[in-house]
Amino acid sequence: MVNFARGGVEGSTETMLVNIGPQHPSTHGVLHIMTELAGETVVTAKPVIGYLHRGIEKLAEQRTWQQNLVLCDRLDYVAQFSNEWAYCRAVEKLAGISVPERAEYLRTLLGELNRITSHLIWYAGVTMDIGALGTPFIYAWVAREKIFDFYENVTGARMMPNWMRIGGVRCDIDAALLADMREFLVSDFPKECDVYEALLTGNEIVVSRMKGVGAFTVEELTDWGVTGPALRASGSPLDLRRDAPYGVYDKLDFEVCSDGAGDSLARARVRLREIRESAKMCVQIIDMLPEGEIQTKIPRALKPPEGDVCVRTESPRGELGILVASDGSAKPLRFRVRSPIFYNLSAMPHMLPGHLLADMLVIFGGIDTSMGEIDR
Amino acid sequence: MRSDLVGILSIHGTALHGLGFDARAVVTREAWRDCAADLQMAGARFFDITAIDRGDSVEVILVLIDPPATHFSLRASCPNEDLRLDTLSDIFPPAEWGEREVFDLFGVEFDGNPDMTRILQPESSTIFPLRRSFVLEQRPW
Repeated sequence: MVNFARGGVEGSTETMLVNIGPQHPSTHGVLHIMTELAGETVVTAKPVIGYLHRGIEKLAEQRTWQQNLVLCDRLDYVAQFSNEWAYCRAVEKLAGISVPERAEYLRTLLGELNRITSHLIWYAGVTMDIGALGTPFIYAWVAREKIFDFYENVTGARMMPNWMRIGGVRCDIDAALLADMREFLVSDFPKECDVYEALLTGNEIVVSRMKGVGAFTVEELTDWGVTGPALRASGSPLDLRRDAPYGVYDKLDFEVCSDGAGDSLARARVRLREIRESAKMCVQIIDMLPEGEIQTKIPRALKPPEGDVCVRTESPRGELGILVASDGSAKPLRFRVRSPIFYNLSAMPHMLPGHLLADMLVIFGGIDTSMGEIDR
Repeated sequence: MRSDLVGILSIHGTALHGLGFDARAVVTREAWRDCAADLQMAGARFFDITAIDRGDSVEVILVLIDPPATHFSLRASCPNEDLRLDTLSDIFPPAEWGEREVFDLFGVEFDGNPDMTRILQPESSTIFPLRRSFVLEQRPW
């Protein structure tokens, strides 16, 4: 049972418990926050999760190593390629499988396009939350649809691609499709980015709504376990793509986007800059893409040696960790997803107290939740 | 991997270099909290806490990182008859939720955790689904 310590705010005689969610337009999925309010100020906030719990970690123990890729798509359903990639890397590390060079490039390309579409969903969501109903949302959807068409042409699916394989990728990408995507990223997409920035960080109403709201220091956020763009917005330079490069990130020229202000506006700026950086990286990858194999030959009944490995990747939301353990059989002994947003959300009880209820949604938007990965 | 961190791991338990981690150490349940506290003082940062069911015991795994690129693990084994361990939630605040999840899915209770309740499953649940003893029913099709 949930027990709230009541009162404790100077000048108030009584506090009120307000349940936000599980069905609420700005919780982006089924999140429930029990909020104790003194007037309009948040005194305590307790996120209640689990409404979307599907037992993916248990299901993974019943399936073979290759079959589990299907489940990875369904973890964080707006960053599907990131999850697949993290899982493939973990199993490849455990089983000692190497990946052909072309496959590494293709994985990195889709991983970065995925970062763009994921950040666009964040953009669409956060602008809706703070009152810009519809317009920025639809602008974000235009570019997202263009990239989703690319996913569909490459993998056959828009949302659940199931495209990466242990040891490579399922199918190659046609040169004409790549040329088309490159053209879009070079000519149209920067203009779209200008529009996003004009509507968000260039909009006086939005700026006054976000500036100085929820300002935290790197030390605080590190202590609370926050990772990813939300941490970089406070000035942290940590980015696994540069610090512990995987895929072909070591061959790419890119900037780690960090910002010193640490408030909600800084978190928005960091994500908008990351969209541009990702687009630049995608163009570089398409230009550098080598010819060759896309899949290493691996046994159908893959049996990695006994042991466990943990792999960290930079997903659009933070540091995604996959821990897999094998007992030498064709099915995993353990499949653990260290979800970045699970731990980012666990910082909410520290972040929200003292802020206005209306600002709560702005701060909440800054960590970019996706309930599929939190609840698993 | 910094030598002072390896030093702390080997003071409290057996430090091994191994597959998948820059280092891994097995500690007793008594040394679990002290070792974590020493590592935190030395600059290690929390990454994850999870568990693996080993049949007659549950192995709790704490994954820590030394930013930017090093990650290592600390392990303690809880026998099935006595599934308890000291909490780390006052040393690493995010461990509070991580420990709740280990409790919810494996049944390991963390002494001193301020909110040792179910997190992913409903409050009324009585099962610990990630234990080997919890078998998924065969589908009828």
